[in-house]
Amino acid sequence: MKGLINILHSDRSLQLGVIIISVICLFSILGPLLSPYHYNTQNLSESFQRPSWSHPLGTDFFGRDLLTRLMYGGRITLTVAFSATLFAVIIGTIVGLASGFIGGWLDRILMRLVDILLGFPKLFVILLLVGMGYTSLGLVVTFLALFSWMEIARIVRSDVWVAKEQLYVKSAEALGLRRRRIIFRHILPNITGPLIVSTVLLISSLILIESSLSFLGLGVQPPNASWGTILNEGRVDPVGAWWISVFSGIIIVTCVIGFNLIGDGLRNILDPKTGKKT
Amino acid sequence: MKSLFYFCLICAILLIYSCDGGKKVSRRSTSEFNPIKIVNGGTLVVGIRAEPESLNPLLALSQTSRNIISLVFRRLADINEDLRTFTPVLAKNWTFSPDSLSITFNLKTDVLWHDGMPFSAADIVFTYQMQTDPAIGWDGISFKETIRSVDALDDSTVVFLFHRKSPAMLMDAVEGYILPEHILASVSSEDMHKAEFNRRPVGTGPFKFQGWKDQQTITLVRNNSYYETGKPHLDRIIFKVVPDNINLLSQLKSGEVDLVESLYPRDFQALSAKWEQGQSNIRPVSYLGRRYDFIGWNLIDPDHYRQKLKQEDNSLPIEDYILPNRFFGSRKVRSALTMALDREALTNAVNYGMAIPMHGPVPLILNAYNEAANVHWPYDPQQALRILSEEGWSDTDKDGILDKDGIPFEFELITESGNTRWEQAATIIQDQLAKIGVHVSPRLVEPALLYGKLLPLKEFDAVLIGWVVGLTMDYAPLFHSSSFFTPFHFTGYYSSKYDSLDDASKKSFNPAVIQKYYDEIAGLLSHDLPYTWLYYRQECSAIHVRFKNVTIDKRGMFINPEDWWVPVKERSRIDKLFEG
Amino acid sequence: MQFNSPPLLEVKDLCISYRKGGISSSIKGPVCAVKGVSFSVKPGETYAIVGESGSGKTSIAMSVIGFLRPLTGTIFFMNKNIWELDRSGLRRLRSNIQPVFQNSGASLNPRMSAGKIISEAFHAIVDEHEKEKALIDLLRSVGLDREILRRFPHELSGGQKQRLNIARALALKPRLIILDEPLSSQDLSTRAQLIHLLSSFKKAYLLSYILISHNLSLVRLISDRIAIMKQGVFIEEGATEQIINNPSNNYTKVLIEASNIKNVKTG
Repeated sequence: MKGLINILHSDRSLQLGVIIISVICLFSILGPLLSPYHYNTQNLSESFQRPSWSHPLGTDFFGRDLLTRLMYGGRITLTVAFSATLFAVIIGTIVGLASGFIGGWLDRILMRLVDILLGFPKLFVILLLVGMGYTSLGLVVTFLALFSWMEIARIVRSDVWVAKEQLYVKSAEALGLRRRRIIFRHILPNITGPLIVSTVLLISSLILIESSLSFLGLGVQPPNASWGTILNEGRVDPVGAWWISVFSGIIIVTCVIGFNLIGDGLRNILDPKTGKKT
Repeated sequence: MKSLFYFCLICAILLIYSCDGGKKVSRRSTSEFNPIKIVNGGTLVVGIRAEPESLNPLLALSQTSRNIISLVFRRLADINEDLRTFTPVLAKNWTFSPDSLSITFNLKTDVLWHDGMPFSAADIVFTYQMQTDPAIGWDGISFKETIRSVDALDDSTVVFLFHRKSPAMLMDAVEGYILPEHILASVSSEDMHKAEFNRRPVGTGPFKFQGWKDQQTITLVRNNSYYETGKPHLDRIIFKVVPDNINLLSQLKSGEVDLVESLYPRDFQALSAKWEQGQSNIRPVSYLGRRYDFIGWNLIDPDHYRQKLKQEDNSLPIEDYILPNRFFGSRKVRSALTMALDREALTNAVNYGMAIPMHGPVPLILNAYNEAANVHWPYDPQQALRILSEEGWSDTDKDGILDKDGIPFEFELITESGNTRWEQAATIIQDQLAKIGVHVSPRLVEPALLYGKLLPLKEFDAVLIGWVVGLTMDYAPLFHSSSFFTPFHFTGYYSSKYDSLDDASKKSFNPAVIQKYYDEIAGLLSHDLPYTWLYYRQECSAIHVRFKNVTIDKRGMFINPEDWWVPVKERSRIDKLFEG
Repeated sequence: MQFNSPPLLEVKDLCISYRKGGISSSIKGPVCAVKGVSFSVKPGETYAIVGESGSGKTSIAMSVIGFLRPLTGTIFFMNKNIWELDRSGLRRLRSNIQPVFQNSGASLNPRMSAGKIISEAFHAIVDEHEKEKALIDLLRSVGLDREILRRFPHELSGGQKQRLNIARALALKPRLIILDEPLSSQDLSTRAQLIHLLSSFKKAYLLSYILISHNLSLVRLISDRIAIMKQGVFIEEGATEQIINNPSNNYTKVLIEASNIKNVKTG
């Protein structure tokens, strides 16, 4: 615990990022519980109310409180981003480890796969999915995970490539340790730094991608909302009801900045090349 | 389509084109309207969201194309506001033969094509041949089915011969714009869709085509040899492509665009407010449009229907395909759901007040519309709950959702994605039905999937979409058992009473009798509720106030464009731009 | 010392190149680090390979441990060609050859405590009690305190790290330890202690060493035979005293003069 606090104190951007993200997480988790409004209760007589004391961020077309909806939408957006990142990191780490450690033909096959997926027309897949009527949230998570693990795999692979030439790995190999043990006890713990950094950065980019997927109709269906769908609702009247696009835009950008700050901070701390080492 | 019943449907289509009448101005007799001396000159800029696909009357489908074409081309005669009588246009007059099987048109002799060639009876005959050529595929081809032949007696006399007598003979004869034979005769029907004419039309209308800049502007200029001497008054009409709505609005406000059709109601309301406060010179004009939205219920069980379809047995009677839908198979349940909807609030919310709640099938714009014929289901959630509980739906497990035999009342309401109004309406319906314990999941579906698969195969619970009252708008494709397996008949409605009323209405010649059948159909459908009609939309347009003598109403934008004029002292920068 | 027994390790015509993969893959043609080297090591013998850095001595070591596949040539260890063994065979054989590298820090996993590092070497022993006992014995024999077991590598001194490396190498009771410049990064007093330690183990366990070094003065203290290496080939090989006292090659002479040991006579 004390170590954690020390780490926090050691880097400014990390500090700021953690504060931002904590506030947003609290906002999303506790907010809907505290709000006097339900995220989904319509009140057509209060359609498109400007920000006021009773509705600090105004209301949307259906007269729903925008603040409550943003808090609730945060739950969905963050859940989607976190779970997709988790899957992406698991897939990416496994592929990266296998590719980097075993090498040879497996490496060539996996890296071709990575190249193919990186160059894959994702928009086409999205439109195909939407066109076939598959729009569930689980599908969004799957889609995001399937198309975002490649960067992780590349990072892990190149780190493994470096790590496996380290003398302590050679020593462990000379001891006749099993490969699994070498990978998980000697290599993986020594590449977590860059992995954590790219994980955090992935979360932030997935938040943005989720928002754009909502734009294309893939993701939560009304009346439920993610930040992306709320931003999308603002399109109805971007000038007259500016508060919808503005506030949902602000929270998306803030969240992305928060995660990027954490990512940068962690990189400074964890990467011995650019900064202080713990 | 071929019957008296179609009369009313056709009316809707004809409204796209110019017809006579209107509250203030009669189409070709405006001289007594304005005591001020009318002067020529001025430029009208019409903002359009997308380019027309073609300016050939045989090929045009979009509203924009038809608008432009209505300025360049002319018909033999135009229908009047009563939707029964006609005013001569290219024809001077006409006479019916004693046996009522032919009409002889005497043509105007002083009409010139825009390229200077004289208009003659040969053009009428040629146009008829083009219109009925299946290789061209004119979308109004069904109008001409009753016609046996069209022959020119001399340069200014044409005879239309019919297969049989019908009240719609004159309408059938004059439908469609007249094309120039001397230009199009050399184009084969197969090449018609790529003819140069489609982008450089030559007509006999008050304005002639001048130029088309891709994705920018289409310019029409005054036809100085128009057959009505002294008209038109405007120098030119420019159609300007502005795809983005915000941009289009700001151009309208800044005066770069003078006329916009189909504004979003919310934008229209904002313009109206400014206009009423006297702070704007953009005059808002709203009128009954041709669109309405509804909920379509699936009356039959989709799984059962699919299984029966798989048997591919054409000998099965329709009854075998019908297993009542567990939710909407019951008429009473449909009526309860209808009563649980606050149509008034829904209508006003999603249309910003620019629509009228609709209770029956007949479009408000048609002469046959008779609100008294519709069965009215008032907004009454309590009564809805009572009906549902009579039907066995009650919340036995206390989870807030009605259930019956262990099945909760939960269904998907599908609608087309990308249509904000429908998405909003679906969300409001979800909220309103939740109040009586019916759980609706709105689901947004791509158009291709919706119209290509889900509706044609009846694979849905309920759908929220809209119809455009137009050529395809016939009740038989929607509800008649003869079209049970066709794409538009997605509700699975099957009523022998409807079938016989529909058939009877099509056999009648007497307008009063037709109207009686029509009212009975309206009463039957609004009682049976295969649809829950939601609202009939108003069209919202706006035009700059400097244009005088303008009539825009439910019949469309360009009813009397040759009468529009701009006083000299009100001329804008754009008017003067071309004056040199 | 008994050197009449059959050799523990026999290397014949070893050629090693870095052509495949790695950093030099852009260079055309094989870059031969080792060209046609042959030697053998008998049980209990300390064999030293001396040469400048870049002369190819570390390549030989890596090849013998099984990390670097030779281009041609054979390496027989305990009568088995190690480059013809499958992976599990190689893994079993490996417990008999252990390396101790020059950079004592880099050869310890920074994320593992000293205790973990050592106990990992006892992976063959299943019984926890027995493992504990073996571990204590081993620590004592390399002169490390039990207390260091909880520390992480960066909390240890250079000498402690190298002792830990040696302890790990000894844990599996190998037949051959390859010492790649084991002392060059240590200070003088640590060197003396480690030399003493290595000598004592050699006697206690009948260990063979391959000692790789550029430092003749260190080498002559503990080696039985010396090979002088230059640009990938052995230019001279023989018993330690013979090489030191009676070098036949000019390069050897230069090395001896440079290390300033000619006048230091040992018995």
